[in-house]
Amino acid sequence: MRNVICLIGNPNCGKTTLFNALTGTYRKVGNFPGVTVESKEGRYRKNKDIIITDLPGLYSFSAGSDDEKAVTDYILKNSPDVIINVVDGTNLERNLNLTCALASLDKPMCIAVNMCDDLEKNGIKLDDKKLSELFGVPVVKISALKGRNIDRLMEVALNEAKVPDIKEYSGTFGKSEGAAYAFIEKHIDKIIKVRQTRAELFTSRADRILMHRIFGIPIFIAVIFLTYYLSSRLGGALGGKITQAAALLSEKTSAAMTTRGIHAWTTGLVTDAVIKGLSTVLSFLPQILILFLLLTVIEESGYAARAAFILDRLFRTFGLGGKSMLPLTVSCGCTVTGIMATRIIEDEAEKRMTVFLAPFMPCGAKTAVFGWFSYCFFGGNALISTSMYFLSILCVAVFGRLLKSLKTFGGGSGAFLLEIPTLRFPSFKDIIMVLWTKIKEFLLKAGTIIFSVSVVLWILQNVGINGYTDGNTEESFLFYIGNGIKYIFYPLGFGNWQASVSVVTGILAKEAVIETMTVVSSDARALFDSVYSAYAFMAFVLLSPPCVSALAAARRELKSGKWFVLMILFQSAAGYSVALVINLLGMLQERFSGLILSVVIGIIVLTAAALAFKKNMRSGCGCCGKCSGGVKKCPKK
Amino acid sequence: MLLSELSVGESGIVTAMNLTKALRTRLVDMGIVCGVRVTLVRKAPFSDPLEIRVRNFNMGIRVKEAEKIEIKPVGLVKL
Repeated sequence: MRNVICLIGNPNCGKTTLFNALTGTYRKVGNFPGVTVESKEGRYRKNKDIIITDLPGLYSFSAGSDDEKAVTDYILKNSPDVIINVVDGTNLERNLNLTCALASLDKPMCIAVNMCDDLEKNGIKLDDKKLSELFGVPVVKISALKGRNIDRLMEVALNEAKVPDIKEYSGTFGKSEGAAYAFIEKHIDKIIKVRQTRAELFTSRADRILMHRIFGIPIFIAVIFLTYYLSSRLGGALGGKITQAAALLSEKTSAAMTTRGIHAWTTGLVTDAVIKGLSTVLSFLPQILILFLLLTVIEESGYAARAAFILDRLFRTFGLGGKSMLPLTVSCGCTVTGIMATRIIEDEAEKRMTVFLAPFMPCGAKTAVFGWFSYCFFGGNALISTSMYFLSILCVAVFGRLLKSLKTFGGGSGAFLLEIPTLRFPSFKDIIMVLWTKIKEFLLKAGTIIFSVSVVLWILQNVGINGYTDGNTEESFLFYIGNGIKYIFYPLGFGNWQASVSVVTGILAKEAVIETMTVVSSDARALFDSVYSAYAFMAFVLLSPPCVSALAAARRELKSGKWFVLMILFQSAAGYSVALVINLLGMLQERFSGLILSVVIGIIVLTAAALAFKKNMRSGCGCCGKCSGGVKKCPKK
Repeated sequence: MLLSELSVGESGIVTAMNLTKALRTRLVDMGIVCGVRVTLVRKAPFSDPLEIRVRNFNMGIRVKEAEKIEIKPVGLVKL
């Protein structure tokens, strides 16, 4: 009985969509080569004895990057019973190269030609019989997205899969370079008549704007700005309703419990810790959902791959490459998945650097913290949360540059060979699934980590050496803990025990920062010396080491304890120094208003003058560019 | 002529690839072999990387790599 089936195919050919359709589960898909970075097993929804594995996409078995190695290892180790080779019908020629490589594995196989609905729509005929004859294996035309023919595919895979037998070609494809392509070129015309599809035509037109040499980058900035602006604007408005509802609930519960004569201790725990703490975090759910929705659209439409292309040159100046774009974009949703996405980067130094820098991005949880801060300190100004995104980009650039100058990171950036996929509309089903998964994750986190943090904090805050403190927080354990570490944060403008404790709980989950502040203090505004130090705190949350789950992911990807420790030190130092600079500038600004502007203008003027001076000094006569001038007569002249 | 020297919209047939073994294998995997026709679709901001069309799909490649690929120009195609 055959019961272990694996899906193999080129990156971005729809394996994950097929996997989701076959197993009835949900896995993230994207229109960006390399979204699947680890293999995942699932069971066929019509027969639970059959295990289906989704593997990362690959072009061949030459194993260039970590995810390709993972596939090779998987096949060698697990020896699947049947291979379903998923090929993209709209891109058959290149996809069949992998089929040739798979043929030499001598495993029962069948070919699933995906995206057949696209072919039909455009009147492109694909001769599946010819294809089947060519490789000696059964071929099924499917549409994974529409779920068409997928049960037929499983039937064929289970009963008719054959070891490939290529009659037209004797010998092995691996022997000479490009032999497989030569073979495919010879036969492809009999199988398919390639024509430009409507989607491709649309793509080539849209790309003229999206990837424009001058407007490409401004468009990218606008897209990101809009994403953040919308999520904090719309999400903030919706979140306000949740807060109002929770306040009402808290009031009612408190009143009800008091009239029934329940001890103040219990009432406080329920209303202050549980209801207030959880609802504050919960009120940011709409904001996070909108952020995820927009990021999913960016990724699934294929725009993320285009962003990688237009930003590659710019990113290289910071020691990153265009391929770091995906981990960084994904990190804006969640740092854990962002760090995992670094597997698509072939170059070791570039990958390490991306792992170091990806946690700088404002993830969903951090966005919630920023939303709360901008609400408390800046009158709900959406620009404040959006500015965090640009601060993170700036820090990636500056600290990337800094790391690059170190010898260990200085390695040349590896090759950038990135498929630029056809643009497509994200499927409604996928978007709903992304949102649903996020809601589940968020509620789970709120129910476990955030809930326990609330309770533990409340207890620590209300219990001291002498037992229940009855509202006298200055006798509580939490007070002593916070006071022990508060001096570290004094230079940043929030050297008090409440803010210090928030920083510590933030390591468990970033949302816990808001949660802690609402539990330990009635007015968060009192915790900060000025709005500048509140902003410094936001910067510290943005840049300091990420939550425990992200740290665990980073440890896995770095594969070395030494690098992991270095990463934590690096991020702590980065967060601390940026927050320090912001707070110091804030202090100066408060003391001498107008000073900051003067300093900034002064620096710009002086830098421009220095650059102009340096250029004139250096050029000498300008004939060789090497001499720094000061020579009486140019030896070359 | 080198792949990096093509103007936007021009095509060429690959004649030689002077790359390291690993990189060469990757290009071959993606369908860039001697004899294949490549078209320069566009250049990114700062003229690097390049978007090329090969075997009916588009991909990005950096100038550094494109400089190592020799081609024989075959003229303009309408994009």
